[in-house]
Amino acid sequence: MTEYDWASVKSDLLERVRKKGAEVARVCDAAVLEDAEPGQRPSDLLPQGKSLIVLGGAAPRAGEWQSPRVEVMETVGTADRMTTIGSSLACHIEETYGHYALNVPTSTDQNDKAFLDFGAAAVAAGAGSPSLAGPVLHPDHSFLYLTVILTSLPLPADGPLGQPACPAPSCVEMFDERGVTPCTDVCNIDDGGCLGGEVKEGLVIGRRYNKQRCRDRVYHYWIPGYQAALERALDEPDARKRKMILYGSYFTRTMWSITYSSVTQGQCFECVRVCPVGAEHRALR
Amino acid sequence: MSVPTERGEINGFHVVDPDLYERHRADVLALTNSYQVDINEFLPDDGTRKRGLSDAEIAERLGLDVRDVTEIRVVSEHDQYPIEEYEASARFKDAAAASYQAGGVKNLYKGDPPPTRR
Repeated sequence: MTEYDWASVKSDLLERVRKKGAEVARVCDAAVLEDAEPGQRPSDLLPQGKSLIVLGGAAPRAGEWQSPRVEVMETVGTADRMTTIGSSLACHIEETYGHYALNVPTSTDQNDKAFLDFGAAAVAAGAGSPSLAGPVLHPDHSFLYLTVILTSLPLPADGPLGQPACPAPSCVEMFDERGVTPCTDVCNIDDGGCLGGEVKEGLVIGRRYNKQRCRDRVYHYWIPGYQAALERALDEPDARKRKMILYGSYFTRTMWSITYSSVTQGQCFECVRVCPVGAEHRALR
Repeated sequence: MSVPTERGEINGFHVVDPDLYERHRADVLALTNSYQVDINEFLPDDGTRKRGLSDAEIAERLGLDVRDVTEIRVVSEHDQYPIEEYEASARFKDAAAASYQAGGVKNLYKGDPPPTRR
């Protein structure tokens, strides 16, 4: 059996995915996510798993951020590009090193839950840090789409970032002045939005997050919005009104989103649009 | 209370009893991480972190069948807001993006979304 230098193997793997387009590639020990709820632990997916390789990339383009039509961001979901890189890496690991590698599904399981908490994996690997806005933010690249490869390779772990991306210095100043940050200002949980929390001594504390509200703002033209509109249509006793619902713009837009799935479904993005982390990458000429 | 096999296979797939759903939806949601307040982020890893419970754990705590808990959770997560909220979300995004582009973080959108599309 071939004896490998695991540090060299790791360098080979991460260099490979960076060439394919990953902006960030980090590793954590799979065991650190074993305190997740049962069903969302690495060992539930692959008992032999020892390492999680977290890849981040495929961020929206500056031009997409700049577009005055919010639907551009809403409909440009590029998560599938990272999934493709993850699948390629998993294939390479198995064929080259003879170890198991599983590209963790990005969809939901039969109980409508994620297979793994990608955000927790990214934080543990240092691919980013938690944010008041919700998404894991990388200090340089800000919001990135993530994919995670679970493998039986015993790779050296990178560990979390020493300096978190959130709160940014300007957000600390803003909170001291106004009691809000840009993200909690635009989508404030006490004003019908999703986000709340405080910044004290440069740290985020008491973060509040309304997942249901966030789901509505992210997926209003997708499956949840479709279910809500369909329920309203089924409840409508007047056939003529029912037709107006089913053939109307909301229902039609929702059907387009569903049928084109991830390539047409981006995110809400308004909390990240106003975030100063990585803003220099979103401001071009 | 009837068992799931007696009442749940009515459509060829497991459907939760509406009365059971109404009785337990608030309790089930409270035990998941649907509305997150200091669940884990930013907290020290000294036992103060709290995670949402799994469906099996919730079932054990509430004395329910795990399949019912799963259905109650999934339905209630989608049932929290009516269709009007989804329309409002679309209009919120229009207004939030426009306000930021017009004046940056000092000009962020406040208040109710406009009632009609721009």
